[in-house]
Amino acid sequence: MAAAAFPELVRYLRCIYLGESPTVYGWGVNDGNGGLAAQLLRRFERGTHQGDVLGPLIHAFARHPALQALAARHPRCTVLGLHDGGSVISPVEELAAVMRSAAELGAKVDAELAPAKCAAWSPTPRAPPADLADQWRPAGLTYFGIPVGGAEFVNAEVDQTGAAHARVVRAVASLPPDAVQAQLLLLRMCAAPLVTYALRCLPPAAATALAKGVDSTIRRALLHLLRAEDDFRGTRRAHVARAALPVPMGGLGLGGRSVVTSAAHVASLLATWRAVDLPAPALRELVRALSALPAVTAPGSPALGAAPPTTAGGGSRTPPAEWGGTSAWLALAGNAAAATPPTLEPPLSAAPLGVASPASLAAFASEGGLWGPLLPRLQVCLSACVAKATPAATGSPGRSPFESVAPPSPHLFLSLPPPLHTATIPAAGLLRSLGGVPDSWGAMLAAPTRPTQRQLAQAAHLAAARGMRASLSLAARARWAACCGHGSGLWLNRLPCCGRLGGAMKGAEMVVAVRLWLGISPVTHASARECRCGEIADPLGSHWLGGCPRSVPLRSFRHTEVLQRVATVLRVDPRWTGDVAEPPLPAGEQSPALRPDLRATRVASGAPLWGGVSVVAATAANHVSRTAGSPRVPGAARVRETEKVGKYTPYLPAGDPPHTFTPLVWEASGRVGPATASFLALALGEENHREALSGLLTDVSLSLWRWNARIVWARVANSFRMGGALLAAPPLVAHLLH
Amino acid sequence: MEHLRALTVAGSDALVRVVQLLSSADGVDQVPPVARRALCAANLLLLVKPGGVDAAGVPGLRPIGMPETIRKLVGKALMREVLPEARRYFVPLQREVSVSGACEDLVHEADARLALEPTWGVLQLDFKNAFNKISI
Repeated sequence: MAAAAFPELVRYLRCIYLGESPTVYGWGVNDGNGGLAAQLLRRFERGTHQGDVLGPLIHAFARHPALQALAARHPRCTVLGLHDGGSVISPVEELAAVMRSAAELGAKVDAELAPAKCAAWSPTPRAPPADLADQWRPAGLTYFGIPVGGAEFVNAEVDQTGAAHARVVRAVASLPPDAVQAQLLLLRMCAAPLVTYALRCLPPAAATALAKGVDSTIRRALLHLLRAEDDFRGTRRAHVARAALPVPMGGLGLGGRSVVTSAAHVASLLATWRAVDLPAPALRELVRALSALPAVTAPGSPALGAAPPTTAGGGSRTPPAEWGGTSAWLALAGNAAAATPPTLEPPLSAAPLGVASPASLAAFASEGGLWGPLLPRLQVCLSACVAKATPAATGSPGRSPFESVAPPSPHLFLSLPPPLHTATIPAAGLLRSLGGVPDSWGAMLAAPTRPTQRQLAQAAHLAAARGMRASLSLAARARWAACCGHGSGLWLNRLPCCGRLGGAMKGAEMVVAVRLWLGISPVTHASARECRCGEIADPLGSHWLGGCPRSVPLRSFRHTEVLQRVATVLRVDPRWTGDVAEPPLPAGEQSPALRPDLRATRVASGAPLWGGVSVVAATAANHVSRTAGSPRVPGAARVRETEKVGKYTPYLPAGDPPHTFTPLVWEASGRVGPATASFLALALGEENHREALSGLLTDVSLSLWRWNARIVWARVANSFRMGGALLAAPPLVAHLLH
Repeated sequence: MEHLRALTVAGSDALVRVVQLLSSADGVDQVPPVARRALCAANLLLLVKPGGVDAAGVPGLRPIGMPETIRKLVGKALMREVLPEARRYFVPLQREVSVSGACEDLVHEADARLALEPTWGVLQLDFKNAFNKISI
């Protein structure tokens, strides 16, 4: 059979599973006598190898005849198999017979049914059927990890999910205080995604409740992590709002699950319906019914739990209180009247695959009765998704020292592209181009590329960001924009390892850096300060990161570290030779001030290359308008690159092959200059070989933020609070400041 | 895996040739038995299940197998080759092969099915230790 279905696999299977000597699994456990207990040796004779990539395929192949026979024996049932489990949807009276058949047919392929682990449930409350009393779950059951059943059962299960998530967060929070970097990574990469699957599959009301609890837990942990409990309430609020945004938008991707709950559910449904050859008649009918529904109304109207829409999908059997999907699926235990089944004529289950539904059925569906509360629930979910993706009314621009300078562009983070469903957008550009969410299921389903959760969530985050940005000063907008995109957030993904180049940041430095990243002062209750140079500095230290003469020594260290990272990577790359950082002057040099930072020779062509490293503060006074006005462009880096090229190129020595110069410019917030990015991609990037490039960009990003933290922390401590006393400088940097 | 990622272009080409050899119809026969055994081996990480020890004093263990990387590459190459055919063969009865987000598929499908037939029920089936017992 295997040979007929998958002839490509026969050799592989023969080699792996029919070798001369069966594989033996063994593991060492001290048996008390220094030896290996015999019972811990396992000869592999049946089943699939643990970890075999083809294991699920082989297992499915072996089990398939049993499932085929089960489906044939019970033709009205829907049989759904997945790995070692499965489910059957059928008339309740037939469930016991189905279970007996499953046991009998499973035994023929060596699959032993575990009746104690089987469970059954029906949306319509009723007495347990005969022979199924042990399996019957009147309140509901957990179906592939998702609780389905009455509201009480679903809520209890959701609470348990939230509690399990909270345990993980507590475990992360209990790590030593100096492990802030690891804690942040664990929160972002482990704790936050734990509930993604549940949010995608749970009905909206339950998912909203779960997201609310999860967000609350994460926010508490984050505020504790960043020593923000004593901040002003407004500061804390801004803190968590900004942290909820994804990293490319200047956030942390923590605590924003409530924003994307509806987006997750919609994306999950779209992913299920993505296949043009939907396997299930029910899904095909559902897609057809949804495509006929009208567009949802403008943002703000019907939100989750609001009054039902008055459209064709409104339905008539479900009380308004249940429109938000209080319980999982449509079932409402104890509400038999609401769950009274419609009479289908003929029943959909009897319809052969691929045959269009009869006219009477379609008409019934168009009235919303066929699907019960499902269509209205999905319509409300889409409405919430659209509302989340639509920005609120723009507020006043706020107060700022730079307020008189108007932003040159009305666009905020992204320009608004054409609606997704009317534009043919290359897959690579889809994420960036998404600016809105189609307002009807029909448009969603007709889109050339159906939106993913990431894209829908980005639209929701974008709307939230626009609302937050409206009230900010120009300087704050610039600080925020400087953290958006272009590799600025790479440092947040760096794993902390030991060693000088290991990428570990001290806990205190990490706290300061993350607070700066979120646009919060590194110290609690911060106010404007008077620098030792006589200038007034804002609490976030833009003055010190850019133009303060007092911070030049620290900025020089930052520059040197970046230079050394670039030189090191070029030095170990076989395509470059003669790499020297801070080289001697070229022959016939005009001025010591024009010495570039780096020299290297391309092995292939022998062409000498000169490089000039620079770190520019995008939030310095001369760049703030540019940065805030065109947040999608690293404008400060671009200007510095142009300056560098104009400054050095005329003085390059003549030669054959000719000498060239490349700027290596980063903004202090980590954004890479466009010419720099192009050069590094050409110099280090290679298809399937991007480790060196991504490693360099990440390391430089980390270095920049580490020094940002050190510079601001040191200068805050060595400046005068307006009317206050001089604070003690951190010991690490105090000796560098005078 | 990192050591394979660090290969130069020549090394990558050699690796591709090895994978092609092992996934070809006749290639497997050319591999010496000793090398074949090594390629078939897997490191086994054992996680202790909660619940203490059994009557024999042995804790419940959940083995996590980690096969040889080259074998995984060969398996992935073969899998990619047979995926379209596997989808036609298994779907809609089974979803673990060639269906991404299979659990979500099942949840939404059951949702739709029970929306149409609210008097019906769902029965979850569980088979004991199925991966280690079922064989072709």
